[in-house]
Amino acid sequence: MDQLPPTNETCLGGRVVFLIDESESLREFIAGGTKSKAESIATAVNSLLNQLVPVADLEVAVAGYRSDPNGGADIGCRWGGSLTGSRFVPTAALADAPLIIENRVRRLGVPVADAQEETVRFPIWYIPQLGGSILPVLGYAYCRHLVVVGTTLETVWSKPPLVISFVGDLIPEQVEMAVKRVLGLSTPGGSPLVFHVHLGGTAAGRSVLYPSSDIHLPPGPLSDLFRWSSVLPDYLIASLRSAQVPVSVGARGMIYNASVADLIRMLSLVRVYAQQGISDVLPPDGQG
Amino acid sequence: MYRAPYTQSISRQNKACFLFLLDQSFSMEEPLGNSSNRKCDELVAAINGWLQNMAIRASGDEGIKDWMDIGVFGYRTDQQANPIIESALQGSLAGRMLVSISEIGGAPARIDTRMQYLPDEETGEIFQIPCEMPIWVDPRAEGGTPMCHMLYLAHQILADWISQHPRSFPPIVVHISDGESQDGNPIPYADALKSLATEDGNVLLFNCHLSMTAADPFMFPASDHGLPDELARALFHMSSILPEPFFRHGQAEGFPLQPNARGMAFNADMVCLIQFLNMGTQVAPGLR
Repeated sequence: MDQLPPTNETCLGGRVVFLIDESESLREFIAGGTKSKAESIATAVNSLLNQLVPVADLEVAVAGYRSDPNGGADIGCRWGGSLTGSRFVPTAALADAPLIIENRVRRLGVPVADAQEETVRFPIWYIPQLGGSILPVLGYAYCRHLVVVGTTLETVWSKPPLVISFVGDLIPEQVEMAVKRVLGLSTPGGSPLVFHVHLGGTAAGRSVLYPSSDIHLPPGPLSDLFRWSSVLPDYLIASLRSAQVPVSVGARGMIYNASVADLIRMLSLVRVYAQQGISDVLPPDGQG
Repeated sequence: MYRAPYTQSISRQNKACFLFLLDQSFSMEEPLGNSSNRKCDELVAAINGWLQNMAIRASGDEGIKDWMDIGVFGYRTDQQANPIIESALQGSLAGRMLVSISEIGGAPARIDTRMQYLPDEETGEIFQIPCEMPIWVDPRAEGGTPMCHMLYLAHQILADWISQHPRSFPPIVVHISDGESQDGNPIPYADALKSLATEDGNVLLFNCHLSMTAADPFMFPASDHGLPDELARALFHMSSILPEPFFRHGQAEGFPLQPNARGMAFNADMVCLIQFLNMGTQVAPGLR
């Protein structure tokens, strides 16, 4: 296990990496929605970033991997505008740095003054650009690099880093070692939590949400993702249950063939992670 | 001309028949695994949802098509341990044994309002919307578990139905319980029920065990080896082997089924229960 420098800081900061497979397969429409997978991910991530702006002591990185027009690997953080070149960005710094601000229509479940919807400002930091598929192992290697170089003697974050990895349909076996090298890092806040998101498309398929065992998972991508996903800490299980999502103790942070609703719920865990104290965020003993 | 079993299309001429046998014993008061809700509450929520779904599916330009008969029965005992086996349908359908889907669709006992959570694709948020939920069955949890009496009555009802519908897709019985039979060995009664047949095949009996613990569920086992206790083994031997169309459907849904897999779930939570209901009832030709 790689040991990263300890820190004497005691604040509750955390770090979140969104690692996105930006291959062409994301052009497909998402299950249960009317937009492409790429648009759905971008909307969900931008919405979440907007909600995280007021959260103190949290830093985020939005990283992607794809091939460039020449067939080379294009891997890196996807910040643009004044954040170009940044890796981890404090959430407080996001407020002044969106690429654009759109007006979007928010649906109101319960009408307000007879209105079913309202127009809201929707800041955008991440705009997906898709390319050819490259081996996810490269994406995970970059993710590990991000966590390692972001951890110095001055590191102030005290929670395990949280990695949300959006995977495409091709999940080759070679990824295993790369994921384990991320899971095996030891940071001042603990080993990273790695959660996986695989989105369902137009073809029918059973979704698998937060499984606690791989007994009933067919061999292949589903079982692989199960092995590579961290066990959900108790406070995240409690959060899911309060949102009427049934999850067992020992459930893994993975959703497979997920719908747009599943995607949004999964990302809402980041907000819960951001607002938790240190004692609540440590993963169960012996779990990756 | 030979036609493979379990392939009869469902129509007004060749109706389907579904029988739900619901354990209403006292232990159904306990919380269902991975949920804070009582087993009996989760069970009737699943059954009411299933009835609503079927009524919607059967709806056409001419109203609800009269293509299936449905019975929903509850079983429990009174304070003197006498079995109470009765229709669980409420309102104007109370006391009816088998009711056509057209009558069910038109006569819920009442309409409740529940909050539904939906994704807003424009803003990447979840919003709540009140929705109307027709209710046909209410939760009940009292007394013991007279399973044999229930299976005996099911035999009587289906023998009569089959005599009137000899060419139909065979009746499907879905039995949902959380404990052992308290009025004898249920296996001979289950065998008798499964021995009934239309020209299209034998009656199918699927058993689902609800658990209070968050243990890993067993879905569609092919052998009784590895099942945790006598109750699980009894339910295994009571359950029908999945016929070919069900087996193929299960595989397509992503269940890693082995040959001779049975229509059984053990230690089911709400997710398993709904998957089990769908798997057990959506395969008949014309229903998908």
